[in-house]
Amino acid sequence: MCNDSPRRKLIVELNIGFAEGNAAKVMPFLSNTIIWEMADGKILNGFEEVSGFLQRITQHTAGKLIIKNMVTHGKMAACNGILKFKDREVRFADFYEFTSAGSATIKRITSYIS
Amino acid sequence: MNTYIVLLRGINVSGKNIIKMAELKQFLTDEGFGNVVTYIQSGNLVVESPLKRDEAGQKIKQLIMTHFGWDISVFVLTLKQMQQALQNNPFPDTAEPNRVFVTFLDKVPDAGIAAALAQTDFGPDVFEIINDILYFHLPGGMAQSKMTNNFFEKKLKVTATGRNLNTVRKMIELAKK
Repeated sequence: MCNDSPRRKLIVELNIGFAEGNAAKVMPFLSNTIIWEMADGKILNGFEEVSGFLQRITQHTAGKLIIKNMVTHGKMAACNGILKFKDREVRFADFYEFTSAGSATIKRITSYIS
Repeated sequence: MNTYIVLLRGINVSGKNIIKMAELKQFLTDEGFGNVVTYIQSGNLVVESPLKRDEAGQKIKQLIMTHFGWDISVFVLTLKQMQQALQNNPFPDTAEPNRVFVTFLDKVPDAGIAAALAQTDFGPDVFEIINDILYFHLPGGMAQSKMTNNFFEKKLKVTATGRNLNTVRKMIELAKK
């Protein structure tokens, strides 16, 4: 898959949305039944709960987003990188499952953050 | 002046029916709705209006069509109706509020269809219909469940929009302010 494939662009846009704390930018990529599983075992169930979570974190806007690696295959994708906030850095690795190989809608995210 | 809780169906999800809530708030304010408050991206608002409930719903629907180009189903409830919906929740208080859904229907579904659906084995997931509101509880979460808004719309031949208990409570809180 080439670097400017729609799937890779989508993941970049999604992560820019996370970095900006911009729920309006992130939500259109998600399915109504999105499941977001955090590394600590916490699970966000569904569009509403994810939307509520993103709304709560909108006050945290990263000054810089670095995407270090990204892989895509079939209906799966993953990327890791660093979000640089004013007072801290967050290192993340996210795994995305789309509703199908050709879909632009994510149905599951698994996130590891340190 | 009336205070209404407004629920929009199927917006900002899966890349469809994108409506920026800040823009919607401005359009509604410009068109005479007062104290417009929006809550998250799933289409939840509190508005004040001198219009009757049905008229307010029609006007909001028309405004969305005009400004965003989407034909969206709009559900308008009074605070009392929303409180009643919460009060009628048939599931125990111990159920996690993010796994209990209150789904508002455009009409009372056909009793025969509802009864037939109730015979289906959904595993641990359960639903109950009280008039034009459908409640469902997914103890294991959404990942493995058949129960979704689209599923119930198709089976019951209704138009519906659902919110989890946390959102229902939040909307009541916002409408009281």
